Amino acid sequence: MKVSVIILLLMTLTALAAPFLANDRSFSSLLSPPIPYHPNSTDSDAILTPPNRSHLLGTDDIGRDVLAQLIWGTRISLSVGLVAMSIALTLGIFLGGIAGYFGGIWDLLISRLIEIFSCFPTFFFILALLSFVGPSLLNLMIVIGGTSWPGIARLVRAEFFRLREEEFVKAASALGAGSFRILFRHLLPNIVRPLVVIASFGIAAAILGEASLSFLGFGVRPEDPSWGSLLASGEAYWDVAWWLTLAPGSAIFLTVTAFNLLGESFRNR
Amino acid sequence: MSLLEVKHLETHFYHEKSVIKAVDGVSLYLAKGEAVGIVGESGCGKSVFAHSLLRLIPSSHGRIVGGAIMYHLPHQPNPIDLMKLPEEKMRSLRGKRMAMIFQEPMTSLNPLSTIGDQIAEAIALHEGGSRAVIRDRTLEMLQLVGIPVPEKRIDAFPHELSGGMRQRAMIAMALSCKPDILIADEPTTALDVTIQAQILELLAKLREQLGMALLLITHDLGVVAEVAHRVMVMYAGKCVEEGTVQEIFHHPKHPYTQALLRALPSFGKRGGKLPTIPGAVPSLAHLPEGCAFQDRCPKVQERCRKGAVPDDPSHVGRLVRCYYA
Repeated sequence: MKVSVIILLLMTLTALAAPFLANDRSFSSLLSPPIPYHPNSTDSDAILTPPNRSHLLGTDDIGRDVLAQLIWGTRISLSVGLVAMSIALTLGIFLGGIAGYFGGIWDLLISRLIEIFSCFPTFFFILALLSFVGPSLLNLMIVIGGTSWPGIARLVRAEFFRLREEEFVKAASALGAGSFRILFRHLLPNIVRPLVVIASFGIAAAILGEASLSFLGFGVRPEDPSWGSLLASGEAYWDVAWWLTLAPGSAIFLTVTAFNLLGESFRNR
Repeated sequence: MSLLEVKHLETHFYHEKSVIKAVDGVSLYLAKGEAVGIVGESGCGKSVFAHSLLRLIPSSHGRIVGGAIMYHLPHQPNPIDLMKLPEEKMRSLRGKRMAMIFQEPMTSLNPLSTIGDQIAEAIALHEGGSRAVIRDRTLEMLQLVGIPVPEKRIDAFPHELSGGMRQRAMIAMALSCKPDILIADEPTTALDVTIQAQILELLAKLREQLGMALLLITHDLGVVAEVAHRVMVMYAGKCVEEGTVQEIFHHPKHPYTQALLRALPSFGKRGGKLPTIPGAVPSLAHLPEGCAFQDRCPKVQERCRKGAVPDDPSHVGRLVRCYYA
């Protein structure tokens, strides 16, 4: 728990401070970036240099600093994870909530939709969708988020089914509260805990999904250095430049593990 | 003048293929400031009747299939039928004009909000006002229902309060908009006897103080005798006898009411077994033709097994649904 929170906090800080941490120009004379390279600035004199004093994690095949790319990649990976999960949560809570609270025909329709969506092998579904809309950061977030809501919807539906029979729901409507007020003011706060658990696992899955898609070339454009695309560009040189795959691979591993451990510890509370 | 007039209300539940007539043609009137008790065994339909008045029957399980609920709004010549009211209008009536308190004060409070927030919600929904005004009203309500140190309790969560305090908070919630009618659905069942007495006393006091009508649902005859002016006795979804407290307790006419009163323990007759009513309440899904009490009734005749029993067949002068009263 503590370790994963610390890792994630550091990751977030890195993502937020990326332009100050790794840049070829400084924003003020007082604050020069500790890593003096921009992720997209190339250096033809330093191609595929192994880790050394000036390039802590080496350089890639066109002379870009790997550490700088990794730091900027944190922004992309984390934002994909968070935004995709927010989309999935919004859809899941909305659809699951309607199905669970109103029941009847709504439940029938939404439950079938959940089942249809769960039937698709998600990863290939995402691949297919991305080949239609074209790879971009925004599309990646929308497509990952838009396909990972069924699990959340199912959970919300089941919990609302249980909660709507509770007396305090009837008491609230006896006081004149409307359906949406009951849904969001009385029922939703009661399921925050399972939602936090499912969200932290979901962020991990989204980051992993982004990395896999970028690795396959369906992810972000090459000028945005995501961890997955770093991994992909390193793959061609794995036998001569091990640092190109090890660095982004470890970053992905660390972040996904941290989110999973976080979810695990929330679940066991 | 009657405030609320319920005419031949019918609420049915549907389970698989059978129809359960939980409330089967019950009529009742409630005057301004009056206290009416509804008594009956578990499952006789008294709670369903109460919930039907606020149209709180979950549509997934059952429906109000017939009858009218005429409600006289103050300063208006004609009553409105709550059954024909659109849901939105009904919602603005709930909590504002007619409020309800429930049996289990633990489960009827949201475990995740403070009692202050829950009382404030009712006020904000119907009357609005700034946060400070609403908070003052909330404190005032907590004071009114006799919660000591309301400034401290206003931010307490339901689990931090005792059963009696929780029920007081529930009452404060229901009364926060000064309703004309308070429906209390077994408000003291979950409480200790001493707390029960306190809560009943509080309800009686508040009814007088605020001039509202009280509909008290209970299976406790003692409670009714203490609080109510008039009593309605329900059996298997029907009203079997109705009258003033004196009429029901001193001159019960229906064999069921008589048997119920005989089954009460009293100081007069010590020792010996209490008389019980033989048999069990018939299943609401398979009611016999004629009087529902026929299989347990000492006076049963051939006539009781055929056709519905009219309101007052033996001309007692009030509602007694029995040929041999």
